Amino acid sequence: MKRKAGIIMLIAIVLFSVLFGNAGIIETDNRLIPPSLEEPFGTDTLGRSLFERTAAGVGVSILSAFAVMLFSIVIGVMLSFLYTLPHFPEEVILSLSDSLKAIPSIILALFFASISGPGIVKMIIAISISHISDIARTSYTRVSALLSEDFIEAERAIGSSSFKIFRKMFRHLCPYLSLQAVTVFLSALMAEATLSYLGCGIPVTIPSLGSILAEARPVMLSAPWMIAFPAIVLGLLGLSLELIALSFSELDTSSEGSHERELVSITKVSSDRKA
Amino acid sequence: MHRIWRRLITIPLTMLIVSSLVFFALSFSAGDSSSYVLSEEISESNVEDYREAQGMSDSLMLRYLDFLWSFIRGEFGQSAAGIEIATLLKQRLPVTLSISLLAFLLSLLIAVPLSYITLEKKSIGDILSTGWAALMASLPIFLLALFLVIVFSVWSGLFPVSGYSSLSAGFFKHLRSIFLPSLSIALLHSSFIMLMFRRALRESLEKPYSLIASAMGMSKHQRAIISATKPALPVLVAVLAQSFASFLGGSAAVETVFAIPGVGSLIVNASLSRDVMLSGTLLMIAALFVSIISFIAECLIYALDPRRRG
Repeated sequence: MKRKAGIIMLIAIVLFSVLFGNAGIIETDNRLIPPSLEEPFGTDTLGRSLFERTAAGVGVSILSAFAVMLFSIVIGVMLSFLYTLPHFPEEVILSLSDSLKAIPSIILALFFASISGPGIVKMIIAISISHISDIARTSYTRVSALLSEDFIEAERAIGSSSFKIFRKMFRHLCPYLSLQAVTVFLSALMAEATLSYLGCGIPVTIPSLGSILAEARPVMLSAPWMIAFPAIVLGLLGLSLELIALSFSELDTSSEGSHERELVSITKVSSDRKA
Repeated sequence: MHRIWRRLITIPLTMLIVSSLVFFALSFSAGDSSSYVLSEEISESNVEDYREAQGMSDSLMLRYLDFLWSFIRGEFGQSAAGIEIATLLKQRLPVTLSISLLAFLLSLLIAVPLSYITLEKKSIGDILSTGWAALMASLPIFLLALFLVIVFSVWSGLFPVSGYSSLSAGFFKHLRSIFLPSLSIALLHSSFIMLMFRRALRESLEKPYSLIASAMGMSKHQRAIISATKPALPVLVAVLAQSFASFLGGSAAVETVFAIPGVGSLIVNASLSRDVMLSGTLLMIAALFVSIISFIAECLIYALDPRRRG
């Protein structure tokens, strides 16, 4: 139930952004007008329609968070697959992922931005790095357990290519990764909003929820709609993701690897106990 | 024991990775100061001599080791504005530390009692607290901070809107200036800490030893507090360590919102003014800090849980 509600909300917000988002907005002279029938969210400091700008900003935020999620999962899973190489010490993967995790993502993003200015790709890489370690850890645990399973031996016995084995293993990883994917998405969304607010994430020329809120700060009290509406949209977006994540974690009754669980954001779904 | 060694090795490993990253960025982005210092008419050989003297013509490896060595010694160099980074740190670190410490205490004060109070599944307390946790997870930290400012500073005038008063200006004034920043960080992280700790408590309540405790005649509350707590503590320590590590990122945002001269806002300013030296040094210090905290947490968990030993 929770999950459905979350997914519906998410789809609604995506539709909102796609239908109403208009990045190239004409500045008018109607600056800082409170919400009205024409402008449901009011106008901002440069007279642009806040409604359209928020919609565009949500789209940008969602896209960049999605990119982070994709990038982290791909690299994290690839990293864990290194374990399938013969005689590969597990300590290498675990140490590597621990050290990547120690690098605070926002500060790393700020560092990247200091080199040559804010940029979307830089931000995505910076935010992904701390999540890669979590994903690598989880999928490594699963992969090492899977390697001793009978069906993998069977695949090798009939001479399946490594690629086929990887695909099969990936299918088994999916339930565990899906919860982490949602968590990573949510966390990346928040990180991107914070970075854009600080001016070091998405460049100011592209609307994003964080930069809209940064513009709203000086007029916070005189034009409360400028902060209220983007905040509400952002909150709803986060809430929808959180609902989905909570619905996953409620199913979890896993008791193995509680130490891993301490270090992973929200616990993995346990397909064992479900049966 | 294995894990502790691994955490210990992580510290230099992390520092190696981060320092290489920073050094790489520095050697590419910073120009050679010889063109600034020397005048244009000087011959090639003089430029070469200058470079030799400054150590710029050494090989990459040598310069990298030199860079590492000065970092270890605490000679952090200068920021783009020419101020000694070490001086900046001395000014700003106590500020951020006091905010982080207060945030840490506040999140413990909020999360732990809440976990015990809302242990009952599906109770009103459970639903409300989970809802609050969901809300906290959906808001970025600066937004929460802004809301707190609106409610507690502007509307009620209880706390200053921005700015920082050090301890020398008076204890209560100092406390009032850091309370809202710390509260925003604490509210955000305590929701997650509560969720995790409560889950660990509930789990240990389902274990056989809790059944024995209830057979011994312990009431529900006694069982929760006395027998279920110790097994759940490793989770608490782990989550606290993880949260404390992300306090740094949070403090960057919060210090900017509240105009507090701490290390967080220093990093943001460094980034905005393209000061690679400063932000790189701060990144290295932050990474060092986080890896040391993880190591300490790992040692604590080892001490708390006999099952992990050997």
